Amino acid sequence: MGLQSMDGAGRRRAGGVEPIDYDGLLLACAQGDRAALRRLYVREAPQLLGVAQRIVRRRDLAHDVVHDAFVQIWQRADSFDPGRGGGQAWIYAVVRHRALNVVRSGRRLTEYDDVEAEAVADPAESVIELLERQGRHSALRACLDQLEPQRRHSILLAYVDGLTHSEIATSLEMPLGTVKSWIRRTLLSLRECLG
Amino acid sequence: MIDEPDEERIALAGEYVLGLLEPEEEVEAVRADDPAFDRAITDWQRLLAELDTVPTPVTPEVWLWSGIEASIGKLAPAEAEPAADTAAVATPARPRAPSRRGGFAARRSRGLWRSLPFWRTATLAFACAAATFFVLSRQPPPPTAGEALAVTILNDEDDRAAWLLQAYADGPLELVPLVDTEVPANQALELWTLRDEQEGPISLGLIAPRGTQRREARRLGPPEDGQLFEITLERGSGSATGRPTGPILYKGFARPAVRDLAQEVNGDDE
Repeated sequence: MGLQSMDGAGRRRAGGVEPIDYDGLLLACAQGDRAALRRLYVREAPQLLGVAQRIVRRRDLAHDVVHDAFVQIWQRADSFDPGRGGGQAWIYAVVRHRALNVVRSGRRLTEYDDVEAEAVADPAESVIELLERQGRHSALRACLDQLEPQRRHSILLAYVDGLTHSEIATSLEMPLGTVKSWIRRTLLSLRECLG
Repeated sequence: MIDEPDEERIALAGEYVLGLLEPEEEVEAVRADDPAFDRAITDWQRLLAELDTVPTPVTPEVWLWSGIEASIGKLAPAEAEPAADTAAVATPARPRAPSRRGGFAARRSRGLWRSLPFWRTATLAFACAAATFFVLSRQPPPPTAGEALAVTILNDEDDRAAWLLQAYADGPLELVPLVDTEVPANQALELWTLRDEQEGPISLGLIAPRGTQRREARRLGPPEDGQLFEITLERGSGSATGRPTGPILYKGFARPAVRDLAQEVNGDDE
């Protein structure tokens, strides 16, 4: 097992064998149980930091993002609607939105200065390379593989790298309007594929 | 089925989950009133969740958890009773009802559906979000952006003012150099703060010798009265040990700014 083990839903787990009850822990957080928040932190912090850092590109900002996200998770655990089993996805969504917020408010760029040049360089591995390396077989991967490469790439650039429509357009060297309608149509066909 | 999302909702929800639909507050307000849209969003989150495993994990700094704990320690848990003088309209969270954010969001979301921006636009500040925060935290209302919480003047060895640091509630720490520091090649300036002797100094990163700069430090909480800040001279990529290793060039102690506390719960004005 170890660090790269996956549970039944295909999620990477930080350690341990038993799947954890995310919905239950969020419910406990809503009731003021700090040990529950701590358990979520222990389990997910490294991956959450990875998700944040991929978007904000800096280790220190990624820590701020995860800090803010855990405070938000603590404060808004009561707004999470259990029963659809989406607790883990909800947590990651909070982190992603906090990371995007940092990027979109320009903070990632305004704090950039020469001495931190390496920190804001493009990620060493492209999202495509990382995905390939995982080599997982799942419904999502199968549906993504059915897409034309550029359309698949646009989805990944948005979700994993946190790029905007116009940054994706620049990255793929496509017109902005094309990217916008591609993504929209790709989402619809992806949804149909996933059922 | 009434709740079955249509193509429009599926596409917009997908864009939201991809991070391409803004502002977040507006989308959340619409979602609170539109179960089909809400369901489309949670479906996308679940369907795309596997992509959260793509980035490489990052080892957390040792102080990250204690920072989180300190921050939530200043807040009451979500179920605390609202402070008596709040103007917020947040309703209890369970059972989860539509328009759970109350009047403001309900008024905003009518007709919002058609005007929901498809493309990225500037983020709007929502008064209800700030009011909700006030209910949960039982603290005085957060200062408006631009209001300084604390100021630190870092002096050099001869006690001359060399750097000005300003901490804001709603933004990064701002650093303004007042002197021009000669930094030898292959070395760099690094900013530190000390909140707690046991915890030891915390690095706020490398800084350039010239130019106003900003550093995210809100994870550490607002600077306390007398909190130490210092700038040391380190090797080019910063101290490798997580502690200052080079000489202290400048140092100073934070002083809280005098704020307008007219709305504070006890009415004290210090």
